[in-house]
Amino acid sequence: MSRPVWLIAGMVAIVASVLLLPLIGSADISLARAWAGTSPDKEIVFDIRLPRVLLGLLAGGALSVAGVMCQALLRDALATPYTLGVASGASLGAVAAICLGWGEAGQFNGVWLAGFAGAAIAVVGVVGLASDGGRLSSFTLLLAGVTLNSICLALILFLQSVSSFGKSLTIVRWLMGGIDTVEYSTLVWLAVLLLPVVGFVLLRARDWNLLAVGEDWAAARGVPAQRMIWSGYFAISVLTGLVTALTGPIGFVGLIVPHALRLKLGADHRVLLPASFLYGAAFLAVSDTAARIILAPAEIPVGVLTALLGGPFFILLLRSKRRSTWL
Amino acid sequence: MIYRLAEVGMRYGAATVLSRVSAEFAQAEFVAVLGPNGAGKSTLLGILAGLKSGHEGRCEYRDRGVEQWPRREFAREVSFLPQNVQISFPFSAQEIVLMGRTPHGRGWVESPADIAAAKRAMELTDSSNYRCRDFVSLSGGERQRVILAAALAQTPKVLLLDEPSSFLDLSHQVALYRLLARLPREEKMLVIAVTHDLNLAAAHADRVLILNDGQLVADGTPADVINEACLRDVFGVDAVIHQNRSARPVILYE
Repeated sequence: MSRPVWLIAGMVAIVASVLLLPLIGSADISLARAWAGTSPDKEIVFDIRLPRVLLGLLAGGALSVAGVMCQALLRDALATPYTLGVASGASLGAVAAICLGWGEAGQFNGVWLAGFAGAAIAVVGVVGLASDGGRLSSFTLLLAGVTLNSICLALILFLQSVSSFGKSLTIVRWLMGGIDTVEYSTLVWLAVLLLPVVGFVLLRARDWNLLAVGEDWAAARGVPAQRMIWSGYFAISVLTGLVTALTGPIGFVGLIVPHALRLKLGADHRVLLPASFLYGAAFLAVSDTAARIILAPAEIPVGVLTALLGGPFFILLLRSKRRSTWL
Repeated sequence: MIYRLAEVGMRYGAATVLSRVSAEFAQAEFVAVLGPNGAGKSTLLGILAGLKSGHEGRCEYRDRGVEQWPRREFAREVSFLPQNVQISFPFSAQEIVLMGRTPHGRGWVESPADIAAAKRAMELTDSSNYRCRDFVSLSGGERQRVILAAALAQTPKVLLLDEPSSFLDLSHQVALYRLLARLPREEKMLVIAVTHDLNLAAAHADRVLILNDGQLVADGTPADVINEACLRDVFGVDAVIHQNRSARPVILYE
């Protein structure tokens, strides 16, 4: 398939996800009755399942785009949105909130807010560690991110060890990553914050191509390399921080979707970024639906499922890779 | 004179890698920069390319310090070819060459003029055959020709090259140096190449700069500069100098 066909197929996958996934689930639903507003079909489709599908789409798209950006800026195909420490910060914030018992309070969700705050603090921390006289280098970013990751992980383990059994279980559950039903207002806020960042990243796709080759390579071709590294890091932070605060860390999406698409489509970010958004979105929405139904009425954490679905798929792909020698 | 260097130096912490280099370069000449490892050749090239901040002295391109030039505008004039390009992603050779067109357009896609320039550059470097192949799958010499094509596709007035021939086979080494010697005459380009291949440089360059221990120790035509004393003192090699048919020095190592 050519590159445009892949992009069109990705859009079709998104539309199909929105139309079909809300109909699948443990409760038998009739679309006709849901449209007619009959209870409980209407509530199950429009208030429970559809928002969840939409959150899965937004989160999956954002995480994949953040993954591509991390890999480009660190020039490492194995980097993930979690490499730079933002998600660990969000996790630490959320875990602290769970320990303090800040559950839902009316419109505000204390765990989310603490997650955002944790992500923001982590960003400032990593930049503080990594920047040298206003310059950010990929290597120091990586080191600072990895360091912050282990500090946050240690603090999370500490908090978990001193919390009660019930809270400890909530923490473990949160750290597995999961997509829950959210209010439409939350979705709107998320979209308003995420989509402009995705748009900015797409607009500068040509610059990321050069930065993925090297900072000097980009600078010698007129790309304001330092400015782009800063804004790229900021974009990664916003995308990862917002999503992680809502869903917990969902692994594999930001690694496997970009990797698989690069094997099929090549490394040009003008194709890779939009494709990653579309396929990452569809991948997470489908994974989440599968997580709902496989052991229904029980649910598998979607983070577990993305790894279970993604791993074997990825191995298949590597074995049948079209683009000859690259791995 | 389009490049003027006055007392240019560079320090990394306590180590001085380049000190008080002064030189001027004209619009159309092929300059080879020679010297042993660690002599400061690549640092000098990096300063000329405007990629080394914090150097000492003045480095001016067209009467403006290289740091004062807006990056895009400078990139339309000066192209820099790094020594070794490691790429972790499956870019095709053609995509790498097209990156050279970045300073020429702000568009999201390359224009037909960009594609024509990239095509011509790949023909000049004899790399068109593998334009659709993954850069990563190419041999060292093939990669070097692709990188050179990317630099030429930038259609610069100045071409700065860091050891452009290190991975090339014999026929492509000779072809490269013939091309580098042609560019000043046919395209009025200033070509400055750092190299370890003294014989190829002597046979093709208009001018040779020799660096040793961060100092500029010689600057002149190959016949003036490359002699037995210089080889012994700077490179620590005993050699005999002959002349080829165009009266250029040929070094025979004992």
